[in-house]
Amino acid sequence: VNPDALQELVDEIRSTSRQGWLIRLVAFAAAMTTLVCTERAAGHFSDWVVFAVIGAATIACLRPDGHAALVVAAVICVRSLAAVDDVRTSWTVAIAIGLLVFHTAVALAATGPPAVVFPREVVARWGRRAALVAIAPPAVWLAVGALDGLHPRGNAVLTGVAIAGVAGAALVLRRRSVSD
Amino acid sequence: VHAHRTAAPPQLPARSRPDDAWHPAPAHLRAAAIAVCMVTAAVLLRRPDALVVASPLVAIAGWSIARRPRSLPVIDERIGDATLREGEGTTWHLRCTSGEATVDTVVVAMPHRPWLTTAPASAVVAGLGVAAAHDKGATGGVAVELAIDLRSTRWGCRPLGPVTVAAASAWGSFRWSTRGATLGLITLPMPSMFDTAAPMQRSQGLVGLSRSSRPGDGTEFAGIRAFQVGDRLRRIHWPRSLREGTLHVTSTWADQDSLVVLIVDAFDDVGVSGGIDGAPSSLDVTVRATAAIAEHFLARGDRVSMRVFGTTRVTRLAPRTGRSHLRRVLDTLSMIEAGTDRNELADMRRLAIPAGALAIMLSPLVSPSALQRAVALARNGVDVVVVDTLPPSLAEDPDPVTALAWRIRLLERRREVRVVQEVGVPLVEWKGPGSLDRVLRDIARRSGAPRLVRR
Repeated sequence: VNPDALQELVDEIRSTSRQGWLIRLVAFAAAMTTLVCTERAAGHFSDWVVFAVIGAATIACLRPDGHAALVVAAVICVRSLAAVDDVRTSWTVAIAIGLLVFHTAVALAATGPPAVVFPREVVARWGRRAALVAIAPPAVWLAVGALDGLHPRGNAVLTGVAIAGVAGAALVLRRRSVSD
Repeated sequence: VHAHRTAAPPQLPARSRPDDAWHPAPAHLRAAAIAVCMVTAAVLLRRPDALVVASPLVAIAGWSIARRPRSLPVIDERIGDATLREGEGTTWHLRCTSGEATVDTVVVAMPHRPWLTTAPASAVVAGLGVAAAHDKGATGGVAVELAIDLRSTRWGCRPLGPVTVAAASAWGSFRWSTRGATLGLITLPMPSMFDTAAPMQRSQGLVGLSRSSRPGDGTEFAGIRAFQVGDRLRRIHWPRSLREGTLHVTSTWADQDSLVVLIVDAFDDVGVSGGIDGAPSSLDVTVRATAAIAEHFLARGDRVSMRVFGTTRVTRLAPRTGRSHLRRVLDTLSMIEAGTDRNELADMRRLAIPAGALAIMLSPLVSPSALQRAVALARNGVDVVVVDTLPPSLAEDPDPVTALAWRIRLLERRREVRVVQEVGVPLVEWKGPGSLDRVLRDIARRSGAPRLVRR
C-alpha cells in the first residue's frame, strides 16, 4: 500500500463535510437498494454479486472520482441480463431508478473535493434533473410492455437498422465525449 | 530547547489539475459505457428490459453531450483589502464567467495557510452557474460569484492561493480546472500597548519635542538672563527688567528631536505562535514591541530608524519621522522571515549608529550574539537598551527533558546577561507600558556626564 495514497485517503475522509457524507450515504443506499431489487428479480441471491457490489460501492463512496461506480453499475447490469428472465418484470424500473440515484449521487460527490458544501440551489438543480430523468424508466417499461404484448416477429432489416443506429450513436457519443 | 520555524508548506486540497480544455469525467464515462453496452445488448440479445435499466443513463449521456461546454471560462479574482492588521479580516472574491450557458457548477478550493482562518473553515466553496447580467461582460452566458472570508491572525507577508478552480457541466460529465493567481496578503503587526513618561537623552536634531542640551528657541524654560543683541522682544521679562533697571529676557532650551534606532533580532523565533488570539512566540513579542516603541516615539515627533538582523528581506530603514514612517516600520516588520540570514559578521558591520542616538535592541537573547552586539555598541559610546522579548511561558514545558534543557539555557542566559549588565548595558524585560521608563531616565541623567569610549 502506498503510504502517501493511504494518507491522502485518510485526509479526504477526515475532511469530508456532513453534506458530503449524506450524499455518499444516499449513493451507498441506492446501490444496496438496486442490488436487492436485482437479486429479487433474479429470484435468488448470488454471493459474488453481493460482495462485488458492496465492495465497489464502498470504494465508490470513498473515492467518487474513480471508476468503482462503473463497476457497481456494470455488475448490476450484467446480473440483471444474466439472471432476470422476465423482460416485463417491474423490478427493472426499480433497478433503473436505483442506478439513476446512485449515478447522480456519485457524480455530485465527485464534482468537488470532499470538504465542499454545495449550496441548496446546486442540490435542488441536481434533484430536479434526476426527477426529470426518472420519468424515463417507467415510460420505457410501459412501451416495452405494450410492444411485448404484440408478440412481434423477428425482422432482420429492423435488427440491422437498430445495430447500425446503436453503432452510429456510439460513434457520435465517443466523438463528442473525447477531449478537444 | 526547541526553536520553531513558522513557515508551513501549503496544501492544495483539490485534485484537479490545471487545464486548458474540458475533459470528460468518470461520471460521463460511466453513463456512456453503460448506455452503449446495455442498448447493444438489448438489440443483440432481444432483451428490451435492458433498455429499461439503461434508460436513465442513456438520457444522462445524451443530455451531457448535448450540453457539453466548448468555450473556456474566465476567472477574475480579487481580494478586498490586501493589507490588514493582525486579527482583521477581508474577503476574497472570484467571478467565473463563461460565454455559454453550459457551465453548471463551479467549485473553488483555497490552500490552507498558517495563521489564516477562513469561512468556511474548509476554504472550499461551490456555486451554481446563473445567467450573467449583460452589464458584467458575459452576455448569453453564465457567471458564478464566490467568496471566502479571511482573517489573518499573525503579522507577516504571506501568499494567498493559488486557488484551484474547477467547473463542471450538467451531471458533472465534463470538467475544466485551472489555478488562480497567487495574491499577496500583508498583515501588519498590531503594536502592543506602550508608553513612557521618561525624558529622552540629549539629542542632535533640530525639530522635535525633546529638550536639547543647548539653549535655544524652544518652549522648555531655562532661566532669565540679561538681554543680548538678537534676542526677540517678546522674550523680554518685564517684571525683572523693571526691578533690575536693565533688560532681561526669558531663555529656553531648544526643542529638538531624538534619533531612536530599533535593532530587531530576527535570528530565532522561539516557541509556537498562536497568532493574535493565542500565545506569542518570541518573534511575535519582538515585532509587536518594536511596533509599539516606534509608534510611541514617532507620535512624539522623534526620528526612528530600524535595523533587522537575521532576515534576508528589508533589513534597514532610514531615520524618518511622522505617521507615514510608522507604516514603513510596520511594513518592514511584516516582511521579517526569522533565521533566513545567518551572516552575523556582516550584521555587525552594518551597525553604524550615529552618536547621540538611542539604540533599543529587542531580542529573545537565545543566542549570545545579540548581547555581544549590544556590548560592542555600548563600547562605541552609543546608549543601548536591551529589551528581553522571550515570553516567560515558553520555559514551562510539560516534557521534563525539555523543561530541564530550558532551565539550563536560562541559567546560562542569566550569566550572560549579568556580564553584559556589568559592562553598563541596561536590560529590561518587555512588559508593555512603562517597560523603558527607568532605563530611559537613567540614560537621560547620565547623558550629560563624560564617559570613556573606544574610538
